[in-house]
Amino acid sequence: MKRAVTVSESTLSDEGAPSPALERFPVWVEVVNWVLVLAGVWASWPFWTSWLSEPDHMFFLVCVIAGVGIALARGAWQGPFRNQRLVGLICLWSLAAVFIALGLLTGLPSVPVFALGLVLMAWVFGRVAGEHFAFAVSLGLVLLSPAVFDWIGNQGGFETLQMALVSMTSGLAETFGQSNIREGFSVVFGQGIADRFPTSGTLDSVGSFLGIGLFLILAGRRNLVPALFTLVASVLVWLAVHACSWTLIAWLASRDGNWIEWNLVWTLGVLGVGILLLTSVDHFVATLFDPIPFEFVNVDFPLFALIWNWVCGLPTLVVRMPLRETDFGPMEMDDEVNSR
Amino acid sequence: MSISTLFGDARWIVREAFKSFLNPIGVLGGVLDIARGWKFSRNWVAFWINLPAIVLLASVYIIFAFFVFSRRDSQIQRFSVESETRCTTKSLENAYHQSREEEFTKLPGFPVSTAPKSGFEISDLTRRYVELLGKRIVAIDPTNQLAHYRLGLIYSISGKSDEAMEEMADLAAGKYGESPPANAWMAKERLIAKAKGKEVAIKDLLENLELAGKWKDTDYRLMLVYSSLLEQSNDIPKAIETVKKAVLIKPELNLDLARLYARIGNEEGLREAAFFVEEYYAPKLNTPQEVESDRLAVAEARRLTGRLERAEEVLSEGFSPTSTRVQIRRSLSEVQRALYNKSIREIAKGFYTADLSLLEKAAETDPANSNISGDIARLLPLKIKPTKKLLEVLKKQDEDGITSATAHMILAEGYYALGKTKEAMKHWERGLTKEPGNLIAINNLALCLAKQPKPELDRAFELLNRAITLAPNNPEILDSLGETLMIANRPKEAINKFEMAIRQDNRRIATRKRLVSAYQAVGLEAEAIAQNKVIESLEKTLQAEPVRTPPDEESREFFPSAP
Repeated sequence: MKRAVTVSESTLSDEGAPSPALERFPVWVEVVNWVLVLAGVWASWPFWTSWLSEPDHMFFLVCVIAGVGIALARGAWQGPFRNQRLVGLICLWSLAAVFIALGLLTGLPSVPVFALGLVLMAWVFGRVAGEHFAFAVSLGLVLLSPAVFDWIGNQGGFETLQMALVSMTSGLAETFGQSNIREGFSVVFGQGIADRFPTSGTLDSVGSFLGIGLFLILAGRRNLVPALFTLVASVLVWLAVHACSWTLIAWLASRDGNWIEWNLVWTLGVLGVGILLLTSVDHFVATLFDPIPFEFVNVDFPLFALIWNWVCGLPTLVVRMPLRETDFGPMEMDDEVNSR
Repeated sequence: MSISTLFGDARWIVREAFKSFLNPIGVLGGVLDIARGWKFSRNWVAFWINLPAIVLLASVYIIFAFFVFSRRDSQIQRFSVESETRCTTKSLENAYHQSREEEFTKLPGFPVSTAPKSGFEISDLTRRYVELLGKRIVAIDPTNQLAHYRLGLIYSISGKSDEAMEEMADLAAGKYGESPPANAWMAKERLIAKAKGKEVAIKDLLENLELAGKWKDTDYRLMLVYSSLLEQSNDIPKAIETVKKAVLIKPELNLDLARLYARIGNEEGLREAAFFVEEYYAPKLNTPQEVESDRLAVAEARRLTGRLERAEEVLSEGFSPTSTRVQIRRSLSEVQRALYNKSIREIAKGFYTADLSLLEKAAETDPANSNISGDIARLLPLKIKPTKKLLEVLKKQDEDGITSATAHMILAEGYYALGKTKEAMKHWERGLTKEPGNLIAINNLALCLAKQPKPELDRAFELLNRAITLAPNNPEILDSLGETLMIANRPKEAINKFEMAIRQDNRRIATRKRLVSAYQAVGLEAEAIAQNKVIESLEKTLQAEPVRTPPDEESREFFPSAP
């Protein structure tokens, strides 16, 4: 009868467990990578200078880079560079070059940002041997996020979010009996005016929350389902924290009859509470959507367990497990058996 | 992952899926195993630690959902009641009227309201709160008529005229259903704008006034304005109907109805309305409750029905020479003037007689009545010699500067007719100081200045240029300007002006004759001959039309007809 093979067993049984140490990469591959990175940075320089002028964008990028760094550090670097991977690398490099050329031709500085993501994708794809190729793709995609972020902003996505926030603030304040009214992109309260709903440009904007979300996803190596949950949660938490803070302001203003202005304390408070909430939500969702270890799978009817694990993914973290020297010693038979 | 592996996996999946049919109980057991496996493999410590965050987040969204799914109509009702309790719509209307009353009183034909002038102030906090509630109602129900109307009133009280106009215009246009109060508001604002010299479409104003009339609380003054506009557009039955409607709101308006009947010459209606005026006001006379307007109303009703002696009687009763009742004094003087005018008779063709003692009496009653100077001046064309007393009155009024512009015009024209050009010019000058835009005075004075033995051409041109600015296409002014240019020996420019005048009115024979002279002056003989032919043909045509006599040379200046 078949028996499920546990992770620990499979790891333990592997001869020559994978090393997390980085193998040497052919120099010319590194050179091509770096040339493309520099070209991408040069071509997208105006984008970075303007985009990084906002504190939330800076915060977002720091979060993403930190997340990518942790993800890479936690990745499994197994085996030497293999020539078969050149096909993938060349495809990705070509695509990156096309993006750089497009950026230069069209004069749109955000286009070469995609090239940077593709180069990272190629680099990870070329090196990481102990991981699924999706790992490389996901890391590369994450680096595209500033350009996506910018595109969403240009499409008016943040205005939609702002309207959603205004509705939510109105709704919350209404439920708590605070006088408020929506006026365009602001909510006017009976005693004070909330005219600042930052969707971009400030540290407590949705960009910062998305950055935290991406950091959690990358650092926690979340799989697709919990990662999507975390991304959505970063927007939901942003909405909830801001709406609550404005309702609180309305309540304080109505109680004291004083005009309350939004200030840095509120900004940092919102960001801090947001980080705590989002981390908690991310962990909670990850707990629920963790794959089921093989120890718990009935080998006769494994279909549903496999579907679950396929949806949630199984992090292929390959780590060296400590081997315990087990000495069972001589078998002792009881008397009755011996007598037989 | 190779293709064979992929298909291998697919085969395995299909095989496994068949098990659900072959061994459903076993599959169920497998599912239970997974549930158990899921349960045992969870990190429950992390679950419980992180649960509060999820609960917190969920509760925020549940509260929001509570708001999203709550009933909108109950919200509207709650806000409306709260808003109305804080500040009633009537209070807002009163506050609006109070804030605009000063402008209303400046409107022509808009009697001063008898409503209290103060006491309708709304505190800033209440106003803001009510505005907030109004906006909330509108946010929930954008077609809420009352909320829009209240918002419009609040905006106008707060001085946000553009927002107020936007709200009220939508309401008045029937965007949220018929709204007579909003139409009343629009009508008032349009009247104020018109009084300030802004362009207002009369059609829109009439529409607003008509709809405003449907409101039971509408301002009666608006109805009077509406009736007067209807009267101007010759819709007399509707005008009468409007005033009658206003009378139902305010019986005092029978006097306005009587005035209207008097203007249109409806004797029967006038008698009826005058009867009601007397019935309403007469019992108040000679009682402690009597006010100046009561006596004036009775007197006016009598005056309108031609009972001038009775009007004089009632006014005299409430008047003494030392009386401070200015309006009664003026009204009595006017009645006495009317009696005087009634006494003017034509005894032979062009010869008149009048009881000047009545005019003296009027002057005695109210020496400051400027109409008297007009009457005295009019004696000149009537060829009646004024008494010494009347001349003194005229002199006194002239010295005091209270003579009317009309008086000066009449005197100037009279003197001009008598050939006393200098005297005439003096009066035209005086008339112009009182009425600087009087085109007749400007034109006549400019021509006199140009035609005198020592022409004052600079002053004449200055006057005519002023006239051209006031009426750029007036053929008379253009003609005078051409004539003055001819005097100044500038025939080429004169030709231009004459031609412009003819373009405005091609039957101006005198102008054409002057144009002929101008053509000849510059040597355009062919044009002069052609113009002469036109003059000849015109003269023939006009002779065939005796009703439309051409303006002759001497009557070019606009002499008003004698009374």
